[in-house]
Amino acid sequence: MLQAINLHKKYKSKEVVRHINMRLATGESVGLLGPNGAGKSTTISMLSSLIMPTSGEVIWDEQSINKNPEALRKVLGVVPQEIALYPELSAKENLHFFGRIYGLKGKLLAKRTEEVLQKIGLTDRQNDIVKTFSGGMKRRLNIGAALLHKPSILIMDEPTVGIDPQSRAYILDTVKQLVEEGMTLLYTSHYMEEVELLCDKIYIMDQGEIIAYGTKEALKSLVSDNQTIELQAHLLSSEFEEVLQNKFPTATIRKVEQTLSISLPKNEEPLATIFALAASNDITITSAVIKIPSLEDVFLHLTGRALRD
Amino acid sequence: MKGIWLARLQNLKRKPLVLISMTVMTVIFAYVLSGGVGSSLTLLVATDDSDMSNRVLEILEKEDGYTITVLTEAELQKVMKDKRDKTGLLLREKTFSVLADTESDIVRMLSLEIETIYNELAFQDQVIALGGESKWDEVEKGLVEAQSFQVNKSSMDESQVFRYDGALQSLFGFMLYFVFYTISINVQFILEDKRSGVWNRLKLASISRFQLYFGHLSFSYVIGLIQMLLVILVFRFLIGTNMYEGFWKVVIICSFYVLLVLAFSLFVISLVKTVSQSSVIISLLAVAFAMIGGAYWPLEIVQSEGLLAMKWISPVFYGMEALKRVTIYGETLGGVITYISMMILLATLLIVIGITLLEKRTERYHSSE
Repeated sequence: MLQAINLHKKYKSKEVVRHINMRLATGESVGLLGPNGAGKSTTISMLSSLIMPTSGEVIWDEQSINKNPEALRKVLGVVPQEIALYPELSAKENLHFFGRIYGLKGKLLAKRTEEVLQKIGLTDRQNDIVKTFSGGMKRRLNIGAALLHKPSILIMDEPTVGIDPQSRAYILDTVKQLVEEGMTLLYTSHYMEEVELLCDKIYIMDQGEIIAYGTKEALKSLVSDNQTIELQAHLLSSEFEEVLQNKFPTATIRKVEQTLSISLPKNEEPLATIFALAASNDITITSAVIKIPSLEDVFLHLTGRALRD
Repeated sequence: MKGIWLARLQNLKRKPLVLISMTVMTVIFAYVLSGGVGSSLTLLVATDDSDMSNRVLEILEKEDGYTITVLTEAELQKVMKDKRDKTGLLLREKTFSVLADTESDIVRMLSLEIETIYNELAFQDQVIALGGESKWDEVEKGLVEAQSFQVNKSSMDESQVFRYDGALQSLFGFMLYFVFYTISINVQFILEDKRSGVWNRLKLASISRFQLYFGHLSFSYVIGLIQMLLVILVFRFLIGTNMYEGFWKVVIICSFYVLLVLAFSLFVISLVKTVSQSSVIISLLAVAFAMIGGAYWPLEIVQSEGLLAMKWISPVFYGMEALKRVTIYGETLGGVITYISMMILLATLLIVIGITLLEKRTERYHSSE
């Protein structure tokens, strides 16, 4: 288990992060969500032993990495936010270089390079120079370079920044596959949908502090225990509104023009009933949208600001 | 460290242009601006047939670097009128005139040299007049002994007689100037690796900071030295430049100069944020250092006290002076130990400051997410 205990980091008089307590159990996929400048990168730099905390400790395998970072580094793969590659070398040369740095040699190096190229989908372009790659391909190779030594923990810092939707989808699929294969993941992003897709547990950071932590459901329940269904239908009438209210006495129902907004507890599953009632009242529903709180709403609820502000 | 060398070598294989172009440019500039090595200054000389003027002519004829054609004064005047690209010299009993169309460095240096010969001969005459030939022999012997003593005790004293070799001036000047770019471009890889995150990746692979800096700096050092060696070898063995039997001393001094430039480049990258900022600063400083360090012209012809005072901050000055002294002046390495010591001292200081600042900057990268 990788654990951060009360981490603080100060640069001169500025405290960049404070009171960071995190746990990353084996096989878990944990998200670290927060806006730019929240302190995510500093936190993962401390967790990965790149920088020392001003106070607090990072514990790996019951040992403080402040004193012995080597044990963690052997099993850790870090995908930095920057494209940490040599642009003048080919994809294969880059992987060979980083593989050698991790002590891989000869056949093992060739095998791992081949496996990684396959995983990141760059086998066909392995001999091309990196500077000729698209942003998405560079990002994929950036991930590949962190996988060569078969790490058991992967820390990814905003791995999809500035790339096209297709490459993003490919990267997310790859990461999902790694998680399914048992990789322990710490995924940092300000894209809530990525964190939501990949991670079981989420830490939300703002202004250098963790402001919330829990499963997706637990975090969303901070905002509300209700779900909202928005119905659009022809010939909506006040009679239908009354029928719905009688059927769902705990619901709050509002009508704005041709849209009916029904707010009711999350544990109810009302869609089938609503459609049946509409049919029996000769009302044709043209659209039905179930709105449940997103992590964006959670962040807004906690800070009063949108996540990407 | 081996890994860093391999990556840098692969990079060099892909982008060899910097090393090649800087080496070729050094050779071309040095060759062209020295007027072609092996060639000498063609000098048309006329004398008034006095004893002094003939003795000056005799000394000039023995000097390397001049092709002398003796004319009458009338002939000289006529040639100089018709052919304005020639350099003429009119020697008289007590004075001399250098005849040239433009006031160039060559004219200034020629004047300086002739003036020195006149002064030396006048001093010799005075001693002989007072004490005879035997007295002069005694004085001459004393002067030689005093000079060797002076060289050992204060080798940075520039009161020695000015000697000039156009070929070596151009060769050393351009070699020291262009290698500045080669080394700094190579040292900039440290900055690039830090900015791109490769540096952190290597640290996470348990490569120590010492190995990282040593890998990059040793590679840059070797590349810089290779460029200088290539240039020296071309001039010494292909073009046939006279290095006054100081070839190995030149190589040794170059190795210290490369160290100093390496340290200076490291210091510069520790002050800036990006490679482009570093390139701009290096370009400006390389030119400035070459000018005040005597790469383009001998410092002996510089009149400005301010400019001369600034020479001490220029790495080029230490390299240039040491190289000229072990060749043109025929000094030993011991004779230029002060310049070598200064290069080592400055290099050590700049490397320590540079690495300290770079490490502080690395911390700041993390804080500026």
